[in-house]
Amino acid sequence: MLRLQLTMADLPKIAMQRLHEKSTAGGMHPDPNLISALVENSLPGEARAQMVQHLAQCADCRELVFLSSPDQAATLPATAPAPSSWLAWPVLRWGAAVAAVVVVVAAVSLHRPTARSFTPSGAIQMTDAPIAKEKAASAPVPEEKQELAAVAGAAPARPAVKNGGLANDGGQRLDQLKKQSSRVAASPMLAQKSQAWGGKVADDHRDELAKTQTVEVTAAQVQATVESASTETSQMVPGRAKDAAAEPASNMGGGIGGGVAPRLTAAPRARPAMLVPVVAPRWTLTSDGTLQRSLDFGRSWQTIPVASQASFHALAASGKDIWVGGSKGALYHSTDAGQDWTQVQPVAAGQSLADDIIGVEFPDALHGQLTTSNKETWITEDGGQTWRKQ
Amino acid sequence: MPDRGVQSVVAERSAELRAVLRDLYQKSRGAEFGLTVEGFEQVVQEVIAKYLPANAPRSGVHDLCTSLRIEELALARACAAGHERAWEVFLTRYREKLYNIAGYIAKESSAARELADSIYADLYGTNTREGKRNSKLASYTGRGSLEGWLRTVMAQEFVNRYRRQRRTVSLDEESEEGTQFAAPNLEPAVAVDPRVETATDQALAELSSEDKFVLASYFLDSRTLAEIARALHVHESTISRKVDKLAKSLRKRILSGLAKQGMSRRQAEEALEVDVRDLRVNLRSRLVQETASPAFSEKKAEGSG
Repeated sequence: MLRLQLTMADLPKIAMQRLHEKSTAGGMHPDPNLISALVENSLPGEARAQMVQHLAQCADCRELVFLSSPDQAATLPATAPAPSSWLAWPVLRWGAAVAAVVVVVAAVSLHRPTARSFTPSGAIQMTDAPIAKEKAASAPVPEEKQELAAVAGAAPARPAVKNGGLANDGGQRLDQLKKQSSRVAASPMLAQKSQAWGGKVADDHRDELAKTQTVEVTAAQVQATVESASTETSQMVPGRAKDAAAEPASNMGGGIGGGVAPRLTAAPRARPAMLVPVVAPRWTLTSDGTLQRSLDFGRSWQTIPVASQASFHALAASGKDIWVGGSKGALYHSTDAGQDWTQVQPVAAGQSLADDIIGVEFPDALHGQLTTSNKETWITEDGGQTWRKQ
Repeated sequence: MPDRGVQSVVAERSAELRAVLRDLYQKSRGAEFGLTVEGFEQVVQEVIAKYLPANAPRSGVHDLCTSLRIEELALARACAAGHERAWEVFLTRYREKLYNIAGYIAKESSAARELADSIYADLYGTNTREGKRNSKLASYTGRGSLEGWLRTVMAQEFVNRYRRQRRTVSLDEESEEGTQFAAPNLEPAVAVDPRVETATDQALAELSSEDKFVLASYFLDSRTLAEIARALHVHESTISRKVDKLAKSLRKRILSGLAKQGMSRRQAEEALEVDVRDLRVNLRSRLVQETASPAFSEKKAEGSG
């Protein structure tokens, strides 16, 4: 706890005495409904002003307010997101620190030799490298994606470029990589991700594949990428109102579906962007069933629109994989940290889930279970494709 | 009295308000818990009458209605009415939270369990009045979340218990704590210059309620900056700066007030230093609250009852 009494100006004792005498005023005290509303910052202006006026004079009610305030971990979800100012001191302070890191990283990267002749055996050379480089450097990235990239610590990664590579048929190289990825993928879900990833690369860069520059992407890197995705899927955190699991270190250069440059185009060894600190988003559900996300360690929260009618009671979050469940069987899944949501309708034996979902647990990407308000348990073993009821 | 308020509000409610209440009833899902439309409207009208004057503008009534935690209100009232399904849902949602909250407040597992069990009994309504269970949940009005309300009710019960236990502490325990042999807590015998009191009162009167709340919380209640910041929903550093600024400006204002009353700068400085020495100790002991003053809810109950 921050306690600055030693350095802070002290109050004149006579002022404390008079304040104390005014703090023992009796009169009508607010009921617990109003106190809890004040604690949750849900009182309108006038009612709040009246409450604060009473609290300034009533030590008993102040004591209740402080006891009723949940601890740090629980408070932040319960409160409405505070309006954040970009010019606030904490932002400037951290901004300055991040800017210093960026400057150092930029200086280091500029002084490195640009041509890399290191080509390990088994390297796969691709022709779409400059495209990725240009894309990462100049293509406009949507604001939301930039934010997410910052969250995942994914600075736009640029590939190592080498002139005079092998054939310029980038499509074939992509196919090779996709095949290789699918061989390594341990699960259908992972394979699906790899497909999407490869597909994304192809879509993004197909129009520029005719260029002659090449990029090195080793089989080992592909393996590492897929393995890092496996690690990600094993970090599902069940329950409600939790921080999302931090991205694995190997995933910091841009993850699958990260919305920035695809990992396939990155050269991990050479990227100083790896130094950028990872900020895992925190997720929570407010007491009125709204999903919120914090990108600054819980200091401020933003509401994530999922479905206008649904009120959520439970969530499971890990990296970019978020599951939320709520009233009347509302179940939504996002694989991109809350940008896009897919409604999942669990059906077992021809019967749809219509009760309130009060618990969501996904220990991994495939296996999950829902607990409903009438104590049923719905289980999936294929990432929500099929369900059975217990 | 709520009844008079209810009648007047009911008499004046418009078709628009009725439509709003019907809409709220749909959202509340009260039907699942056996709550009828009329029963639900009665509950909301009670809440309106409790918080708004009878002649409140329609916009105010509308704003209040739409700000209520309708679903939780319906659940709480259904539980208070003894609806079995509502209790199942309540326990599923809040049972674990009750124990977690009790643990946070009581800080000790056995005390926490005892506190939670006690609150649960109050919520269920072990006392009967005129053949009906008297559940504490019937006093939930939906202004804040049900979870927040439970937290406040539990905090209130914890404070009441603590004070009751302090009053009945045994002599052996007092001896072990050394209370019996503690030096008497003498009131400061230093006479305060009335001009200082006047200047101080004037300076305090110029502060806003929130400023007084911050000062009282920090200097009288010894709350941390983090706790105050949490209560006011601002950052800790904001409170830190505010406390520092307020203490300095208050001192400056008092000195200025004393100067206006003819004191020299040195006299004013000395007058501020020469008085109540043991105030901090007194304030800490004040938190123990050996006095028999009832908790606010009891006062409230007396006041409203």
